[in-house]
Amino acid sequence: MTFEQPACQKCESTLISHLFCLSCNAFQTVPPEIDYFEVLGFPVCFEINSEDLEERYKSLSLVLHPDFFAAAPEEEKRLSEKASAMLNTAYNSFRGTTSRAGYLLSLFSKGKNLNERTLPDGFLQEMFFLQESLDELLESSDSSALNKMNEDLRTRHKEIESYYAPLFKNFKDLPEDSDILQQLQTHLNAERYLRRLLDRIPATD
Amino acid sequence: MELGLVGAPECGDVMKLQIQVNPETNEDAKFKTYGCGSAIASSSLLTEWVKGRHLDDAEQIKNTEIAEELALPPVKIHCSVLAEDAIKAAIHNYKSRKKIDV
Repeated sequence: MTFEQPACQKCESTLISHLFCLSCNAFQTVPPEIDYFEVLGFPVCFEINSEDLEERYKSLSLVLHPDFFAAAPEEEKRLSEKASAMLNTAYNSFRGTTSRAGYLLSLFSKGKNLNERTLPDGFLQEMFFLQESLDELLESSDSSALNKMNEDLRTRHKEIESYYAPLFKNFKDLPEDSDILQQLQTHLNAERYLRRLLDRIPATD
Repeated sequence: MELGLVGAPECGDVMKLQIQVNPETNEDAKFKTYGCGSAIASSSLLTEWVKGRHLDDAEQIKNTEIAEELALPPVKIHCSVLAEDAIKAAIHNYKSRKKIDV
């Protein structure tokens, strides 16, 4: 997958987002399979600086938002709604480390026979055990033990999220390497079970 | 008691199914599920369906039958898959243990 700097279909200026030309304010005709990187105008890459993401999202929202097309012809209104929806989806998907890793995996695993259910050895047994322990803690209202479990789970969750970046390091090789993609799938699966546990713990003030 | 422990990576739900087999019929079944309402309903329905059934018969239960009975929406189909996986896992464990024992 290479990053090509596309040109505006109307004025031929270089585009940032494939959706819209910031030079001549023209909506672009985009194929339905446009990916989130093209929507936001980032190279295909795991590491995205959160400030850059915020800034890109804001600057594109400021030109695409349907509010600015209230008096525009129907066709432009429709394009603005469609483009804004795509922008929001892409932005939300890229904000979270796990959802960004999951999105990249979905791009690269197309046509590859990955096992979508893999987990580290013994992980499921441990998760079930932790769910039962959490039951007891929630019933006992032992807040210090509950806080301890909360902290431990959060540490574990962070640890899992730290596994993604090294796997994306050799990015040029990644799309071909099923073994790395499978490892990534395993971490993403494990993350979901941990998040499930964390979701059960009530927020403290 | 034979155990089947399975999980749904789509959402992080976990389900433990216990079956009491004697000698080849499920005399009793119990479940404990950590998950959404659809996952709990799927496990509950499954335990009702497998009680009194022969193992070979219980093994044939399909997730689509569970999904249809509960009228699960498409986004919750994986909950019925979890239930099918659980009974298959429990029966598989029972059968492989039997072979080792006998």
